[in-house]
Amino acid sequence: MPASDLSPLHLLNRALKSAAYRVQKYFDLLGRVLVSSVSRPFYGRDLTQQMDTIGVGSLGIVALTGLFTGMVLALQSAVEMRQFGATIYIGRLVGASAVRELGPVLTALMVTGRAGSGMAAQLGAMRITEQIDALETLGVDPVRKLVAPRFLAALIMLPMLTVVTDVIAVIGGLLIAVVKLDLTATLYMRSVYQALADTGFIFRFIPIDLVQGLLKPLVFGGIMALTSCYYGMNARGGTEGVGRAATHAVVTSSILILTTDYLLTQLLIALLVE
Amino acid sequence: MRRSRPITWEEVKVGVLLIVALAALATGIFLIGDTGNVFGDRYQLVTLMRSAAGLVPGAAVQVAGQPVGQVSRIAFIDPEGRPATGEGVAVWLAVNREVRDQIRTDSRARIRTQGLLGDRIIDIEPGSPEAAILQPGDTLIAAEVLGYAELLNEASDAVVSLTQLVRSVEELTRDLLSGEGTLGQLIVNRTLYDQLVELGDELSQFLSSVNTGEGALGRMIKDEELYDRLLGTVTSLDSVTARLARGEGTFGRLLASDSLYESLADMASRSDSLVAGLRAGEGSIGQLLVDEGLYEELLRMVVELNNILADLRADPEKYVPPIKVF
Amino acid sequence: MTIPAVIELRDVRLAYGAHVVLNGITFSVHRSETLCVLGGSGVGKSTILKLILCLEQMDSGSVTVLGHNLCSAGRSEIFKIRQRMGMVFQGSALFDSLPIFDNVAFALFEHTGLPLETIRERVREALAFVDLDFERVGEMLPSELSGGMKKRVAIARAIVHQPEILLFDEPTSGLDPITTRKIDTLIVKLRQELGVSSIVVTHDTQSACRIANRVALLQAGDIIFMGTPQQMLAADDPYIREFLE
Repeated sequence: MPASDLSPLHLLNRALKSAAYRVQKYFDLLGRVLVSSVSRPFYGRDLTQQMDTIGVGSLGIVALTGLFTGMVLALQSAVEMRQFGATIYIGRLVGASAVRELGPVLTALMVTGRAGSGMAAQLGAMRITEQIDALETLGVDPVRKLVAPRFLAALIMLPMLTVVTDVIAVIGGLLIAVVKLDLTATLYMRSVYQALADTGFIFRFIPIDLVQGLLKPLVFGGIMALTSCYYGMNARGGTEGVGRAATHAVVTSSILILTTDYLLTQLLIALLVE
Repeated sequence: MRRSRPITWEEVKVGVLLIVALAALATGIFLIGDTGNVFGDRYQLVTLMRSAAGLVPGAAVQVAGQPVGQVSRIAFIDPEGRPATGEGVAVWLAVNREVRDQIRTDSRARIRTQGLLGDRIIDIEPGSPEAAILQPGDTLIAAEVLGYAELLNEASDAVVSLTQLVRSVEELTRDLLSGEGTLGQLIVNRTLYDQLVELGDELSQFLSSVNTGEGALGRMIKDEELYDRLLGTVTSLDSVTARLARGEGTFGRLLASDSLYESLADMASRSDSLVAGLRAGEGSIGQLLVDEGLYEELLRMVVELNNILADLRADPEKYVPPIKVF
Repeated sequence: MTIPAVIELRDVRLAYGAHVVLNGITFSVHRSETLCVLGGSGVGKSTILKLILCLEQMDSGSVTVLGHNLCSAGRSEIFKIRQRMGMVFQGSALFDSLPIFDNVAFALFEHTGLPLETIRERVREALAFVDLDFERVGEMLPSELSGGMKKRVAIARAIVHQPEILLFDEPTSGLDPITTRKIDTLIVKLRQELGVSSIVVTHDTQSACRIANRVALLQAGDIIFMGTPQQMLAADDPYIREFLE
């Protein structure tokens, strides 16, 4: 390598070019996934299989996340609210934060850790052992056969898992409210509903909080699946490469999810609430 | 893959998860909607207000404190089309049709704050039975609410008077402290105080001398003789009374015996017969009372005397010798 | 040459950054011909196969397969051409999650729409061709098979849809001599019985001599020798001699 290749400017230029190239590849993959999702042939069986892996497989971890998040929210807010004698508002706090924010984000992060890493590792292994090449050779588009079902499954299952997280988080808060704070269940639940009703409704009866609480996991699911598949499909360098792909998938997905969460919240507030 | 196959275990699990999650979601939408009062047929009312006071679309609408709907839209009124009363915003209310007969022409809408967080809501007073029910699209009259600005005005007036009051009190205090006027003197001057102290001293001296039994008053308080004598008097009084009660002595007899009473009664009856005798003209006094001859004699005498007096007045010299003065 | 070439590469160049993999390769394969590409490790032998399958993009040059120019072909055209080819990967590349039957039947399920019975029959034939018992291995998973068996299943998978071209990437690497012979026999049998054209990439000279009609020797991105195995064995070029020893 000539000496000029190591100058900072040159390195920066190369880094930027390679970043731009990867971003382009990422969006190219997204385009192919979207086309594959709406055109034939459609791999229904792979879809159910992925829905099982991502959805049913993540139920336990998601339920635990929800339960403890709800309980912690109730406990923490109780300390503050007691000072104002406002413990009846705990339902509001738990409901609003779980449905709007913590449910979607924590579910997405947990599923990324569990299913996203698995996706990247599996596709990475298939790439390393030339199974993806074999698919191509057998006249099957690996994006259609492997990525699209994972993408769609994540798109469907993340909102569903978020519903589970939300419900269990609210129940977790209920446990604390009833057992430790001596609130009645009715009062607590009413406060939860009130919080979600107060933000308003679209189409006359769909609570805005639920819309944003379900749109977010939809987007997060897409990001998680696409990012994990991207790293899996582009894995290189033997078993070590597979491990690297899994790590990168989780880290990048998590960062993208958190960043997108901010942008999406801004957008949804601008569109729906105001 | 075109293989006919039975439903797999995976599909069952995924299906159950989907159904459960969607059912939970639907229940959530229903319960939240129920709380937010979005179900049920609604109609629109408009109310014009000077200020929306921070009301937002979606805010609760209550009738007599019960949730019945929500604010659907808030818009400015075109300055040209503004009513003479000066309302600047129109607030559209979506209200459940069930409570339609509560809201009548004399109902009033009012912005209120509710809860710890001070959410703004619209509260509607139910109308009276004789007023007509408002139809969809009708205008509901907003109650005259003391706006924040007016409240501030009132408050500032109050503050001005309060300031004045405080100022006068301040001046008064200053005068008092500088010893002007009687009260001032009273407060500032020491003489009164000194005199009072002196008086107090003397009083306490006097009291102490009384206490030690000096002087008449002191003796009176200290000496037991007076008490003994008084006690003696009381005792003798007691015995006198007892003797009186027993009818001993003159007074006792007077109180106890009936004879005095009897002789008095006797005397009274005799006076009675005396008076009756007089009436009947018995005796000389009786004649005097009864006989008319004496009366006439007396009358004649009086007339004559009268005549003599008149004569005397007309010509005094006839009876009196002239008196020569010069 | 009057017979049109089944595969034709013309001045194909490929470089990863500064590392030149192929430096202007030109050759062609005719119907029912077996071409062996020989060379040391890392000289871009496998890359040639990937270029023919359009799994990788070249920098310049052209590849024509069955009369289609792959450079100008669209994605769907490429998929159509691939269905007329079969590839046996170095590591067999069987789908770990699918049993042997589904692995072999994969292309049939994907592209033919044949009834299940016909597909079973075709899979049975393909497995029989590579000396495997359908009843015994059909429901087994790839992880339960030995390396040699995997290789044979991979061949069965490559031939089940009756391709016109077969590509082998190191078909005998890591196998014992007896299995190697079996595989070699299979490749010859495929040419003789099914009339397929094939390219076999290998570093095993003996095996190449047994199966090849022609041999190409690759070194540092260039073809340094092209001819029959006999010609190669007789050549006196020092590098060829060294390679053969």
